[in-house]
Amino acid sequence: MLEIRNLSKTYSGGKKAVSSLTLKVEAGDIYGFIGHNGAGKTTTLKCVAGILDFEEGEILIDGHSIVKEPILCKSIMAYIPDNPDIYEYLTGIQYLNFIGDIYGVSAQQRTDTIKKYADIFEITNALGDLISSYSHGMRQKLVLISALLHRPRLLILDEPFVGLDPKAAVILKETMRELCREGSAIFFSTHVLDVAEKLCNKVAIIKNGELVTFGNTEELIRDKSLESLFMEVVTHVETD
Amino acid sequence: MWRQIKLLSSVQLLNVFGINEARYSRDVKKKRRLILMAGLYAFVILLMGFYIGGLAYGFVAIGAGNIIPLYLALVNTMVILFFTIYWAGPVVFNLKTYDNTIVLPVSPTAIVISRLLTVYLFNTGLSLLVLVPGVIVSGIYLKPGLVFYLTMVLGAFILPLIPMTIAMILGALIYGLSSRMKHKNVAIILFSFIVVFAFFLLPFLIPQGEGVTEQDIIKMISGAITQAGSMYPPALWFAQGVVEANWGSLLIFVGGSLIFFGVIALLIGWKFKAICTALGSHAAKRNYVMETQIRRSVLGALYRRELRRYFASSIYVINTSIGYLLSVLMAGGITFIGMEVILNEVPLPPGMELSFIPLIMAMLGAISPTTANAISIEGKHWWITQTLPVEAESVYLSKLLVNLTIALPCYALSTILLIIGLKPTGLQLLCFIFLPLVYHFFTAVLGLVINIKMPMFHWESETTVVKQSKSTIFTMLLGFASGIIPILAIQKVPVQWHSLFLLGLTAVVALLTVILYQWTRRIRLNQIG
Repeated sequence: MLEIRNLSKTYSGGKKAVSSLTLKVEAGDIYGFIGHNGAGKTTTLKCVAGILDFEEGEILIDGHSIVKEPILCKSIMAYIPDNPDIYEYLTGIQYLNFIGDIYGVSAQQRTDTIKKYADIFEITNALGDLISSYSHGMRQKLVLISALLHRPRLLILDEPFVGLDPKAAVILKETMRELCREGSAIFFSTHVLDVAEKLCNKVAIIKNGELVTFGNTEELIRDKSLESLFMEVVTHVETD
Repeated sequence: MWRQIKLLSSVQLLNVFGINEARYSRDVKKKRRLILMAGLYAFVILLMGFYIGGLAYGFVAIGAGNIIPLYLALVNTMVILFFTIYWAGPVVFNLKTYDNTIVLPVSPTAIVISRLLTVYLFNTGLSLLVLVPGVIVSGIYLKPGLVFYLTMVLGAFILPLIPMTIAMILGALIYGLSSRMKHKNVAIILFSFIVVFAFFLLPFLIPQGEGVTEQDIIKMISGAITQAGSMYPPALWFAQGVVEANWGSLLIFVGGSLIFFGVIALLIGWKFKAICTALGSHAAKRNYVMETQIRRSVLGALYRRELRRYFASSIYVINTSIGYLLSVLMAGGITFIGMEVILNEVPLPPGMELSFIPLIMAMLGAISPTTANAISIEGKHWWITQTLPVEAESVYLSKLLVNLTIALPCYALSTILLIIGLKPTGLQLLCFIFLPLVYHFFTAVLGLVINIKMPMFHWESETTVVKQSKSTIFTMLLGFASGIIPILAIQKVPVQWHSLFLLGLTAVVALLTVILYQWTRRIRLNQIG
């Protein structure tokens, strides 16, 4: 579903954020992307989402290049940034309808999806209010609903659990599993190693823009925890 | 406590004027922008100084020098009211920064005083800017005694107190309403337009004619100032104190100002948290009931989003629609008041009026297209547009459509009015119809091109984007140049060729519009910024 080949991204100041990164996310995967602050996670996700241009490498979404066929790629995926900055001048329902119109979601499908998730996340009664009146968590929930509207085959999430209340976090994890059972793939960054360990069937660890390890979660951690693996790998790289 | 007040005030002032950013920012672009803005402000201050000084000189010339203190006090009051009304609310009653500060070991009183002090210091600066030109003119031509200078210095510090207190109360009301009303901007936009149009209409309301001299106009203004003074007694008390050395009036002025400010400041201090909480609450009914949604087209969705974004910002609307509305006002003036009256205010070369009008109409629409900021105004929301599965062209088109939605009704109305009022025929009629129309399309595309080349996504205040960004300034300059160059050029063309000149210009501008639009089609969204 997502194939990143030798991705390298250097910012205009000369800082190399990502270096020759290669990984593959398959349908049904919940793939955790782990790394410390400034490791290159957000840059990678933004390149996948088509926000950032990159100099080297290739990113394929369901076999299509994000550079050559951006519209097709974007139409089958959804991206949620770490900070839910959305149009504060729209009401919640206006925002969802805007996204629905752009992705060509039918009236029935969008009504059903909004009803289902707005009820689950308990924000239905707030949908008629301006987003400017929403709390951080409510905005996060609204962005999640908007991302699920067109049933994406690839979901890209940057730190999705930040700002969510415990109940919403549980619902999100369940929704992620449900999507993967239906054949979608999820690629997300996180600092919460416990969540990654329990939720992800695959993980990748990035440090200073380079992938230091990746693979099946169980095979990687064996009898250890993801936390100890992370510390071991990161420290090992630092010693090298 | 005073140490706390001093510290808090200095932090506030550093933030308000962007001094710290200019000093420590490593972002060369940001530094350059701040320096450019400082230059622009200096220019505006200089202009204001000349204007105030010029009118003061006018009073001296007609032998009404005694009215200068009253005039300065009234201008001072108006300037402070105008600048403080939208600024004081967010500065004084900002709950977010209050929450950040109250966790520090400082008293709430210190926080309130530091905020009031920030507003007061800013206004004292404004007060000095207004008074100094008038004092210089008086000093040179009227040779007043020491009392005049001393009372003027006193006035510089006391005059701001009443208008800033009134502005704070009104500002708080606007700030409070704006967080509660979904369509709060309509009220702010209407209010601002009334003020602007009153300013532009004022010259036309003064009787015109052969016998009216500049001296007559200054006499009328001096009469109006005396009348206004009677409506605002503090200015009159101050003026009586300065001119007649009437210590009783001066005492009432100083005492009254201090008491009014003090009482309101005490009330604010007493109920500060409650006021901030009440003002900061949002309009949230939380009563939505889910219903069946409707599917619309992609371009329609983008267009509606753009339109909502546009009307969500009063400052964006006011700054970008003023040119269009002025063109309607001017056309209405020509039709209903008469070309002769307009020519008294906007002198045009004799015999060339009909050739100039379409160019002036085109230029009025060319100065501030909405597209000059349409990309920058997305700011931190730009990621949404970048990740949408739509062609960049659709995004650009939606921005152009919003511009034309604002421009074309004004164009249609002004053109109809001009055709009724001036009755152009043949080629002249074509110029009246097509030249401004093509210019509207041209400047919309030009603004978009400049914003694509000079986007600005990291901003905190919409004012920064709409009024101070490079894109705005460049678009305004190029728009102005695109109007003024043909205006200068046509004066070298024989009158009988004017219509052909204008139609040729229309064709050139149309071609340029197509070329620029084709260029935008090649720019992907992630290439911007």
